[in-house]
Amino acid sequence: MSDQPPEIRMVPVDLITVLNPRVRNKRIFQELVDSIAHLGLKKPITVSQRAGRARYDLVCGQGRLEAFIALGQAEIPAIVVDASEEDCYVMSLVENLARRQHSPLELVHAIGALASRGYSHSEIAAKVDFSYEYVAAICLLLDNGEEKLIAAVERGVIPHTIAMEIARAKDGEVQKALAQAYEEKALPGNQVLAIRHIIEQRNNSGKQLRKRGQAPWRSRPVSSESLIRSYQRETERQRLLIKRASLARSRLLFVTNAMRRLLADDHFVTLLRAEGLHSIPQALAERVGTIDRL
Amino acid sequence: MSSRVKIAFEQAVLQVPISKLLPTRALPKGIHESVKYRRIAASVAEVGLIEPISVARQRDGTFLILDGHVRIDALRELGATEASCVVASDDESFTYNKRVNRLATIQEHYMIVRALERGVSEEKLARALNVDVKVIRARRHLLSGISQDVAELLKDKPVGHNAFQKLRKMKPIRQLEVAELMVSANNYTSSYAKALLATSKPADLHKPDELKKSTGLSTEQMARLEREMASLNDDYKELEVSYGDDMLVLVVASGFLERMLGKPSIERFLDNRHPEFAENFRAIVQATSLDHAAAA
Repeated sequence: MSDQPPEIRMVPVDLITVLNPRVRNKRIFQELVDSIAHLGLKKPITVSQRAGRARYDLVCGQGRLEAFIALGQAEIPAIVVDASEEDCYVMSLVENLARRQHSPLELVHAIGALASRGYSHSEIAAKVDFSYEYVAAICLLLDNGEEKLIAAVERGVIPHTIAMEIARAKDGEVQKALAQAYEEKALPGNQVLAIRHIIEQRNNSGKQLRKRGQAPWRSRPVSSESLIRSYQRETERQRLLIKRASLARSRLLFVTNAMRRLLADDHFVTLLRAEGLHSIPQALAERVGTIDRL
Repeated sequence: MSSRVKIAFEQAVLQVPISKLLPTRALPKGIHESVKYRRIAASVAEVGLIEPISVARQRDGTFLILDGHVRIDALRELGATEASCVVASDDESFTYNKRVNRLATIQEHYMIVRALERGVSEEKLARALNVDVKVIRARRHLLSGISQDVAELLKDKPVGHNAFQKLRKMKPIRQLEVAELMVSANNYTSSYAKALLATSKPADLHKPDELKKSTGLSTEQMARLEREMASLNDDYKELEVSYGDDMLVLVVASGFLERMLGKPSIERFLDNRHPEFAENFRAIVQATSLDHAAAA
């Protein structure tokens, strides 16, 4: 804006007016608060103070300001500029809009970059305030070129621990990893479909993400044929899923009923105990119901 | 009451020669042709750097760029030799972009409306953002014809701008239905909105005749698609929830069955006393593979 370098000052948070506030995603905000609490504030906010005025107008950093308030801080370091109210509005819009969204892959490359500068996983974990396990998982996935899995981890579809298991597992072992994770309650059941879908894509078309060729904003025209095709695909997909789901349900029903009957039989229970099989997996036990006999 | 938050940067803005700034990553290929790059470059040319570049000190007197690779690139293209920098006390670059809370489409609309109300001209905004004035106007009127409930529902969602064009063609009840579908599918793209528009009943639209033109489908074709989708949708929604759980319990159960059948004494017992169980257990163990289930 101006030619002389602006200064950074500690500014009382209650003297800052947010001219053009916005509602933000609460989960991401909470992550910001935690990050600031653990790592500290990474960059100052920017405010404007016009000559002779006590109050400041916020130019950018609403999230950081609100995080500081949430953390009970009275002051926040701010770059103080002298800009008109109109300019503040323009700058805060530009700051929010002239911004590139980083793909999950680009984001985690920052972790890979630290690793290649020679930092250990635990050093990196401390630097970015993530768990050692997360950093180790991301580095392994990066080393193996598992772009699809990384994207899934960053979108929150697959827990990083499971993504690492998947990357390491040979064909056919993946389901064991998933089942185990489910039993350990590390994985909600309704995510399993999404995960299967990603693994399927990975096995069919490789670990890399599709390269972004054309600009995504130039959408292809939708022809009636392609519209019909996509409906038919969707319908077919749903039909298949319904078929598979009813099959799974009937099998499960059979198993639970059979187990219920068998467990009513003292002879069978004795046999199970003798073979050391008296601990029925929790997930199954819940469906069977009364199993206090074991 | 609260402990002091650490300040993780040196409390001064430095003017650093661009030649002393070293990138920590390469910019994606083709970035110079992207709209986002041109917008960032235009904003740098029009209003300058709004926030300083975040850098880390190196022993040799150079600096690592932690955040601001694109802006530095734009500055260099503009012929600048120095950039305002803030020196971070750590050299990680992950946190800066990881913690960005993206501006939701509807919030962008409100911010633009407020700026315009306070006297900022459409032209000035358009210049700073390197967009046509028409785009600013479209953003300003984003919510015209959109029901309030829908605006509330989508207020913090990354909805595609063109999705609102599609929503606008629907009557309020259908708008809300579609918005709820978008939320539950976590899909806010314009093409999804377009598909949902195409499956709307004519009675749910402001101008039913336009639909045919835009999709090229006859009324009969649309009606058939609509029936197919509708009958499946209800079963599907219900099953999708339980299927994942069922499937995993089944895998867990079949693992247990396999172990059971692996013990000769138990296998014998089942074969003698409950042959129908034994037979089915074997079949289930064999068929129950998540890999099969997904690939079928």
